Amino acid sequence: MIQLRPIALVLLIATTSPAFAETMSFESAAAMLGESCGKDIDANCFGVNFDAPRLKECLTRNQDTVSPQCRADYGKAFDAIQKRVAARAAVAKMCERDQKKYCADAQNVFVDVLACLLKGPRGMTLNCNKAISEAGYR
Amino acid sequence: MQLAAKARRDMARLTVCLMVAMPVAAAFAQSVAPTEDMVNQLTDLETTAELDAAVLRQQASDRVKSKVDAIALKRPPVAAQLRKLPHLNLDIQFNPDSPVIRPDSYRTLGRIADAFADPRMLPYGFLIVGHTESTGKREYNLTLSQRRADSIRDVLVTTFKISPKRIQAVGLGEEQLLDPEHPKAPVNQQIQIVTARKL
Repeated sequence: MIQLRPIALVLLIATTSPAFAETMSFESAAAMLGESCGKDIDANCFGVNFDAPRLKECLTRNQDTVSPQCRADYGKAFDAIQKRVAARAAVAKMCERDQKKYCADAQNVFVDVLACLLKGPRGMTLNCNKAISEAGYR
Repeated sequence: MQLAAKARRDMARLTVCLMVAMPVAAAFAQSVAPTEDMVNQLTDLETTAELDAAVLRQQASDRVKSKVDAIALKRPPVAAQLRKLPHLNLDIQFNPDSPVIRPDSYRTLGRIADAFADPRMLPYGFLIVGHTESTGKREYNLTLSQRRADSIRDVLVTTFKISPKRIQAVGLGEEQLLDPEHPKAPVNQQIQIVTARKL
């Protein structure tokens, strides 16, 4: 008897998520904030610029009055920005050993090192591989 | 018979799952393209130009103070060398008479941040150049454009953690009209991103 339901589930997961989850792009996170909270920012935080700590503080302070959509999304948007910043910063650290071991010929310019690492040298560490994926470099 | 019916049902569910999953993947693919264009446009720096933001600011300020080139229609650009460098012009909306960026333009700011964080862009330094149309006082416009360029730089540095060493901000007011034939046209308010130097 063929059980198709588990196959369908595996296929769904495989199509929607890569081996390591890529963090959201800055563009998508910023767009989410602008689209979900634009009217609320105009109404409650008119003079506050797109400065993450200040804008987040203003929206939090006005949580009771902002729209449900904004309330649901603004935390997610700021978190996404922070996660991508952290993921980008983590690559150099997580890949330090791999860089020395497999990409010694790269001119120590990050773009060359990354190009080398993206070729996936045999024996590359799982942590480096994961860091590159999460930073959205693939 | 029952088994065949179950298999058909499961196949229908699988099809639905794939139909849901594919547009999600497509949406991610589409959002990549504009940043890619930006990177391609801005990484084409052949000259080793060394543009200093402070010098440009001084040039613009001196001209406004000296009151030369009073007629906007005949006014030559104050920093013609900028036009020879890789650049792109963007529509970014601000609150009226303010450097505060409108939420409609957050996406564009995120896109610039994605481009600046791209590994191919890391070896370059950029200028954010603010402009205004020719309405009102020249001196006021010069100040407003500088505050707006500073505001974009601040967002890139504070919110998206782009290195401040890579970005300088310059306001040229109405001293370098983007559409010199139509000084009052809204296109003159665009922001320019210019690849200014190789680090």
